[in-house]
Amino acid sequence: MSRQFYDFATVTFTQMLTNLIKVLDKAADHAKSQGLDPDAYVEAKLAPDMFPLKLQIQVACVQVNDAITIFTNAGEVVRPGACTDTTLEDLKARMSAALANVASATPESFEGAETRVVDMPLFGTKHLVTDGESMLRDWTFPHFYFAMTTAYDILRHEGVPLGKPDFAAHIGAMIVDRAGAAA
Amino acid sequence: MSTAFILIQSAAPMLRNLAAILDKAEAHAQASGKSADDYVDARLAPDMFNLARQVQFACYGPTAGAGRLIGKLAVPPGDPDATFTAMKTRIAAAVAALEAMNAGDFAGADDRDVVQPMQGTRVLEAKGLAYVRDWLMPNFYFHLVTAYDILRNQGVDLSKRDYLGHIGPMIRDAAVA
Repeated sequence: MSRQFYDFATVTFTQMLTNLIKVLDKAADHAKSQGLDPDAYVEAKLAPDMFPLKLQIQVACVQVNDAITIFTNAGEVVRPGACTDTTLEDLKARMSAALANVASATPESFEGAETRVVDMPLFGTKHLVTDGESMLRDWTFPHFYFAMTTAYDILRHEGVPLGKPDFAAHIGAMIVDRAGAAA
Repeated sequence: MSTAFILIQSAAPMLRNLAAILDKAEAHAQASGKSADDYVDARLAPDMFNLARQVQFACYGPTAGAGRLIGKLAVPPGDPDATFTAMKTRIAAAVAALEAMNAGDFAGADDRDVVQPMQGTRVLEAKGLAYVRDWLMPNFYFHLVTAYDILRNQGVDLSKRDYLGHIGPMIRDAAVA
């Protein structure tokens, strides 16, 4: 199971972050074609008291980096400072750094991760206390997918032409045309 | 232990949270002198699915997907709901179906060949584990979170606490402990 746990975490993070980087490229192209400033999307949000695009992406990257730190047993998680990103390129660089962090984690470094006890500081005096498998399933994935989806939803709400094939671009490789295959 | 079972362990509690979110939306509508059913057709962009469709697919994806994983035929998703009552009934049925499955039902599912019909003559082909990780999980969360986002965009007062209603027991307060 250890190898499956490693794959489940790292493949998910890698695929979804890679997809979102391409989504930001599409958003930039769309803005330019409309004579708009692409970087205006950085502060776009769905409700006045919701996080804007830049913080959705910061949260996604924090979740990924926390998971890698905890699952590789690499010490204390690092709490990020205020997000100072102002451009789509800044956000892409942030995601690229998270991708590099994921790529640096080997299957061996995840040894025992899914059963190890997790006690991770959150905010204030709050801690997440569970095991690795539960952390990935009940904490990391819900937060990560929340941020991934809401980033996409913000851009759709702003009028960027996107579809499921952008959100889940990685599944293209799993789709076969039976009409072609039968020929 | 089947890793693909993470689908059931994720979707069942998150759909329970979604039902509680719909309850909050109903209370919010009532307090504002509106009908919650006005949210049923709300959407984030003109060419995106409405709330009813997002809820429908959040329920259909994991239940039909789980059926394919354990060798049961998936029935078509049918029509979306027109009322909050119907959406809540749909969610309750999905939760019951998911919670009726156990890890034993998923024995061998990780390595099973799955074929899901897509549009036209196209099919999605994958091993069970990749089917869950790369398709069912992203798709499930997409519809679940977009339902939440639609209601937030409509002004319903919600927070991560509602979205993650089930994880309270995992959060400890060091100042209290």
